Amino acid sequence: MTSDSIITLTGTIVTIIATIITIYYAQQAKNYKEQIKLDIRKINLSGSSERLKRAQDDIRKLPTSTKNIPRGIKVPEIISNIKSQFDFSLGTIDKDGLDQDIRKVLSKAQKKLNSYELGLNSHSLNPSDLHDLQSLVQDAISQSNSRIFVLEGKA
Amino acid sequence: MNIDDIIEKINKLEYQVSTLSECIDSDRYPVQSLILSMSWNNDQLNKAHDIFQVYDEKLEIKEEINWTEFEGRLKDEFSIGYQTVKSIVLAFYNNHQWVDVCYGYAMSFEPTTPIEFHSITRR
Repeated sequence: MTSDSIITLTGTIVTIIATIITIYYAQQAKNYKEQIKLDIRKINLSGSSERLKRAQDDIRKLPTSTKNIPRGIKVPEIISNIKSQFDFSLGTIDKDGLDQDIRKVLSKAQKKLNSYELGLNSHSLNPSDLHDLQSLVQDAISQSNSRIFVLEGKA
Repeated sequence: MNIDDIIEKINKLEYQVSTLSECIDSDRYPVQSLILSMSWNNDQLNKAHDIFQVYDEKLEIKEEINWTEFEGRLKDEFSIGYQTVKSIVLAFYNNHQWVDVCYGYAMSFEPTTPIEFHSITRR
C-alpha cells in the first residue's frame, strides 16, 4: 500500500466518522426540537385550561333570566371577562394544529356566549345558551387536561 | 284570636325562621343568609344596595373615596359594628354583587387587611 493510498483511506475513514457524528447530532437536535414543540404544546394547553377555569367561575355568575338580575351584578363586565379568557385560550391553540378539536369546542362556546349576550340585550334570554356554554367550557377543560396527560405519557 | 295568641304565633314563627336560617348554606346563598341573620326586610336590603350603589358610582367616575365614610354610613344605617360591616361586604362580594366596592373597601385596609378579606384582595 502506497503512502497516497494510506492518506486516501485515512481521509475516507475520518470523513465517515465525521458524517456519523454529524448524523448523530442532527438526530439529537431533531429530538430536542420535537421535545420543545411538545413542551410548548403542553404549556399552551395548561395555560388555556387555567383561563377556562376562570371563565367557568364567571359563567356561574351569569343570570339565567333578565327579570331578576340582582342589584350590583354587572353582567356586561362579566361577559367581557369571559370573552377575554376565551380570546386568550383561542390564541394559544393552533387553528390547524393537533389540538384543533379543543379549539372547535371553544369556538362553539364563544358562539353560545355571543348568543347569550344577544338574548340579554334583547330581553329574550334562552336559558339553554347558558347551560350549553357551561357544558362546552367544561368539555374544553376536560379535553385539555386529558391531552396534557397523554403528552406526559401518563395516559 | 286575641293579642296573646298573635304574639305567641309570631314568636313561634321567629323561632322557626331562625332555625331555618341555620340550615342555609351561606357559601351558596350568601345574601339570603345575610338577610336572615340581619333580620332584614326588602327595604333594608335595598338601603344597603343604595349605599353600595353610591360608592360604585363614585368608583365609576374615579372619584376619590373615603372608605371610613362608607363604613360609617353602613354602621349608622343599620346600627351595626365593624364586624357586621365586614359580613355585609363579604356576602355581597361572594354573591358577585358590587364587587368593585367590596374590593375597594377591602383594599383600604392594606397592608393590614383582615384575614376574612383575603379572598377579596387576593382575587
